[in-house]
Amino acid sequence: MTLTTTYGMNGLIRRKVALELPHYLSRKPVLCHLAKRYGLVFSILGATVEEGRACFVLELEGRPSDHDSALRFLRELGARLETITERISVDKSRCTECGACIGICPANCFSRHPDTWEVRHDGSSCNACGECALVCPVRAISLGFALSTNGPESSGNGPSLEQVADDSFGDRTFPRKGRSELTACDRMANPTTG
Amino acid sequence: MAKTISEINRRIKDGEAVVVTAEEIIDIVGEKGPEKAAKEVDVVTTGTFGPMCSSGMFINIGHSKPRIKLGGGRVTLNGVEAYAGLAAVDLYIGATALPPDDPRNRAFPGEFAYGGGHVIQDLVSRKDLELRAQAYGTDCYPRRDLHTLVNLDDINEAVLVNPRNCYQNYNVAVNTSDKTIYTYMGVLKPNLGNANYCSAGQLSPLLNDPLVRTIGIGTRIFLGGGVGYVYWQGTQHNPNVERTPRGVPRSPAATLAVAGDLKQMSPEFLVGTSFLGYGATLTVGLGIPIPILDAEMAQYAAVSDSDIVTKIVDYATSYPQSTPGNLGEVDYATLRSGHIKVGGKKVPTASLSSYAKARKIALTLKKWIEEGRFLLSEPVQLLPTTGSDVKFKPLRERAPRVSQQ
Repeated sequence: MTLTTTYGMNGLIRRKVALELPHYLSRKPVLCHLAKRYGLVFSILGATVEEGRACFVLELEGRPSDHDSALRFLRELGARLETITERISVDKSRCTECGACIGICPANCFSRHPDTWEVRHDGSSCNACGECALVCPVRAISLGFALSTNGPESSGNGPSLEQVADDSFGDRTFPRKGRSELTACDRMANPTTG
Repeated sequence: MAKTISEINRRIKDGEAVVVTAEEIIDIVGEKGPEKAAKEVDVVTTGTFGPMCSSGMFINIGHSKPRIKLGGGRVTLNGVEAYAGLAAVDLYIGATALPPDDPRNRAFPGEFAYGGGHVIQDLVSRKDLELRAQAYGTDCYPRRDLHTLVNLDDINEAVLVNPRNCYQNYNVAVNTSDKTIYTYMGVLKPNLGNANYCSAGQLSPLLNDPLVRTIGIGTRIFLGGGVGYVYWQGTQHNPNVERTPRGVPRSPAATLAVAGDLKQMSPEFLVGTSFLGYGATLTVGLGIPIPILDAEMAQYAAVSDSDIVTKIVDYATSYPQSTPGNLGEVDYATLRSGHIKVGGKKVPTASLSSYAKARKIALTLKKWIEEGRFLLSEPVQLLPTTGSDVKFKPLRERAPRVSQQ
């Protein structure tokens, strides 16, 4: 399985994975061993525990060999693992066809239709850098996450990895500190001092 | 022989007016010449759709029971600061206003996810806005606090007011430094990594009447999806700039001050906008009908992207430091080709102004006029043009006398 990998400093790499622990592991200390045994720094980006099964979306950072060992350890325990890839989605109902994304994309994913002058998006060369989502003046572009493979159907009626990945990231826009649209309700929950 | 606006209006009412867009007139004048084109065509419609930071709106929320005097108090709409220094229940909110607790650029580059422009779009979308107010209380206006929802249908008036928009031509922005910069012209990558421009070029209203021969106080226009009016020249209106032989300004020049009833506008053409590291604003759709009174007007309206040039400005040095100089001139046909050459380097271009929406606005205005729903108006007074004594001055800073208090 090839995992989406980001190369960082000091030879460390970062990967995102979706992990499903079967019922017999859900009450056992598993994740802590990623740090303890394999020296991986992990962030839990999403988690659901239902009907005895636990699903997590993790970001792991560490040396490549430790990644391999840790993932082997998880599989041998009986955990199901799936790759997560990042992808750009464009909400055409918000897009004003301005084109701020065109000049910023390092992979030339955006172009103009020569007749209508509408902005076209072709994500085939996208490297998920997220620049376009940051510069979009009307926040029509978001960086989401998806399971890159269609793994075997999970057993039972509990949460699926797909659901956890969707719930964790489905509507979330980039960057993660939150470009989500504020609603009146949000503001009521967090009243301002003005 | 020259036509008059009232003759054109008679033809509109009779359903006989010939209306074309600023794109369509180019070929008509090219094939038939300006004289014949002026005889055949009555109106050329234009359009532009871009971020216009001086946008704002006045609203009157109606009197509460008991009464409250917002004037002199503090008011927020959806958490964004509104200006209350008006009469009891009148408010103004500007497109660039922010919530008091927005981190701005403290976490650089700031996101400016929600500001005054977004409040205006939410109101015109007929969403409820949350109003909070603190007032000082008087005998006739005793109430001190107000916390309520308001929406467009309940409030008395909502007027979109833009003291400066519809810029006639605009700079191309680039960055010669070695760091990414975050500007009102978008994110500019280091070492001339990209170039952003912001004009609809051949569709842009004021580039089709470069000497503002037909536009003035009282000109009826398409504004924000509804009908609006020009009420004055815009701030920084600067007609005395260098021009091409066809009268097209080679740098930013004329501007318009416009207003219109927000209740008949549409969120499709008033869009809350966030520029990373810069701020919040409002993207506004605006279109002006240009009456083709004579051959000269036909010639002006036939301007094409290759006839319009503008200056490439370095937003890392000369713009922020207010120092003169530019990195050369380029025409809009080249800008729209996707790349320009700056100092020998091929630089990808992008527009912050939506050409697709500008075209939609010109086509919408054309339809309104063809259907007889929109008549042209005779300006009460034309705007200052070349040769007027209008000057665009920088601030002359003078040290205040030390306070004697």
